[in-house]
Amino acid sequence: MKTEIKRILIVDDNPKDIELTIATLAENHLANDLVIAEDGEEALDYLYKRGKFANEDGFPVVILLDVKMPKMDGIKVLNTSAPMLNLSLFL
Amino acid sequence: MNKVLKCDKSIIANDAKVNHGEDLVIALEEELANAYEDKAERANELVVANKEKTNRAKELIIANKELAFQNSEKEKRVAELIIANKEKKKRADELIIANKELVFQNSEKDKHAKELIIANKELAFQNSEKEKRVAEFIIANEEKENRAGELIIANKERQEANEYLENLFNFANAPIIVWNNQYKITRFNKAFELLTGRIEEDVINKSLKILFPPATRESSMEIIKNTLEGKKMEVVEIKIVHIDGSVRTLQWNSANIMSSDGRTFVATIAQGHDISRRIIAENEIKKMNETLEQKVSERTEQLEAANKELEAFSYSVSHDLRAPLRHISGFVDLLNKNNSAQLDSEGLRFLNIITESVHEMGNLIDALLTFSRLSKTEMQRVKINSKSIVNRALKTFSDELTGRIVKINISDLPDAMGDENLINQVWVNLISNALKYSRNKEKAVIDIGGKVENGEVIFHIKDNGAGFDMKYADKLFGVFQRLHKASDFEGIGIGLANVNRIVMRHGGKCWADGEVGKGATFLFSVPNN
Repeated sequence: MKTEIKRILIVDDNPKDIELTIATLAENHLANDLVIAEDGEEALDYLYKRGKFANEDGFPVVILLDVKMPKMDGIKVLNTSAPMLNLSLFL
Repeated sequence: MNKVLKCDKSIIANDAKVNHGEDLVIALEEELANAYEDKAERANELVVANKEKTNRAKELIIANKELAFQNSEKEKRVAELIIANKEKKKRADELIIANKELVFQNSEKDKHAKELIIANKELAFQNSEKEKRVAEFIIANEEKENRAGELIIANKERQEANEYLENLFNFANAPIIVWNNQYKITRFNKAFELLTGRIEEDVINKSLKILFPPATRESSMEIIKNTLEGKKMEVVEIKIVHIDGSVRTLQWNSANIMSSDGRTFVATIAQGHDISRRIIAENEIKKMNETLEQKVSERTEQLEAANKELEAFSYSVSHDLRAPLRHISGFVDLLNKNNSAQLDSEGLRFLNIITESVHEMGNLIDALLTFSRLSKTEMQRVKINSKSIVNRALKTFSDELTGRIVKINISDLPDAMGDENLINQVWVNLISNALKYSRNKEKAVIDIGGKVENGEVIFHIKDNGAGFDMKYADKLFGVFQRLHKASDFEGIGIGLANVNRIVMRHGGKCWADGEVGKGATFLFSVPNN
């Protein structure tokens, strides 16, 4: 049975959190297609395909978004990207 | 007295008159009788002479005739005498009548004399009365003399008092002034001289108006005239001008002086109290108040900012302190899962301790956050039905009660004013404690009640549990203070600190009573308004 790989975007400024998150996802076999953004701006860059993500394509089915981050927090990221996202929001 | 004497004299005179009348009558009668006897003797002699004449008839016829003639002359004379006698009788009768008249007059006088005697007695009585009165007057006079002496003393005293008043008037610190019913100044004391820069001689007999600054002159006069209509002391504020042009504000008391009939107003005495400083001070206070209000609003803004900062801080604490904890527990979990094969039993035990400590730390952070939120959350005071709130709190412990024998007695629970959510937390904490510390008793007994006292409601919850040593009573309500070993009773020592903070925010207080092994009673008060 071939499972379609779903992309997950992890947005977190703390590498330990990222590692633990990845470990948890791996444990549940969800860590096949992960994109890491280390702050809010990077998250938006990925979503809008700009900056270091300019050459990327594809879109995540799930975004794990940390709320408290330097420069741009998670709420701001949501507010800014909401118009282009068709999301179910879990907090 | 004279009247009496006069009267006696008239009585005597009257008696003399009566006696004289009687004498006259007697003399007349004697005279008449003598006349009769004389005539009878002459008649006899005539008869004898007649006989001799008869004898001498012849000789004497001529003589007889002469004698007869003489006789008839004498008879004529007798007749004349009879007539005279009759006249005299008449006169005597008249005298008798006169006498009777006199007697009547006498008796009248007698009557009058009697009346006079009565009058005399009356006068004598009146006299003695008057003498009594005189004696009384003498006594009264003596009293008056005494009184006069006293008055002289009183007068001296009054003079002294006058001097005293005069000095008081002149040298009193308060400006005092007297004006007459023409509103002209009649007295002006030293303090007033100082206040106005004028001397008494210059203002006497001048109109009051000169004392007021031109701007308020007419209105001040109006105030004074109006004040005078009411006779009572009035307090009014009137401005007084100094000759250098400076103006002071004085508060005035005035009293009208009335003439002795109490109707005519003759003068007014007024005393001023310089309140210029007070007014300046009041203005300063007003300014200071304004500044203060500004400061308060600034502070409020600062406080609000600080509050927001605190909220941010709390959030920060919950997030940032939790993150490393989360990492610790996360990596310990990974260790357990991925590397437990490489660890011996000791290593695994250490990992367990780390996990427990992380859990404990998490609880402490939660507790601290709850505690700090208690002082921040806005209170909404409502009337709380204490019975229902206690029953609600008790329901949350139904799990703890299973398998235990717990008797809960609820007596009177008066309603109280407070924030329902916060007061609920108080009850939950206190009931939780009572249940926890009595869990080693075979039969736990918990009494809950309250009473209204001095405008507040005092609630209590008593258990028969482990109790505490009263010498540590002051530590009971501190943050993270514990009086029991963690191995005996779990907990982090935040419950009573929360209770205390909530009760204090309501304006009440908490206290406790206890004895080791015999249980504890926790009490808290909530103002009833």
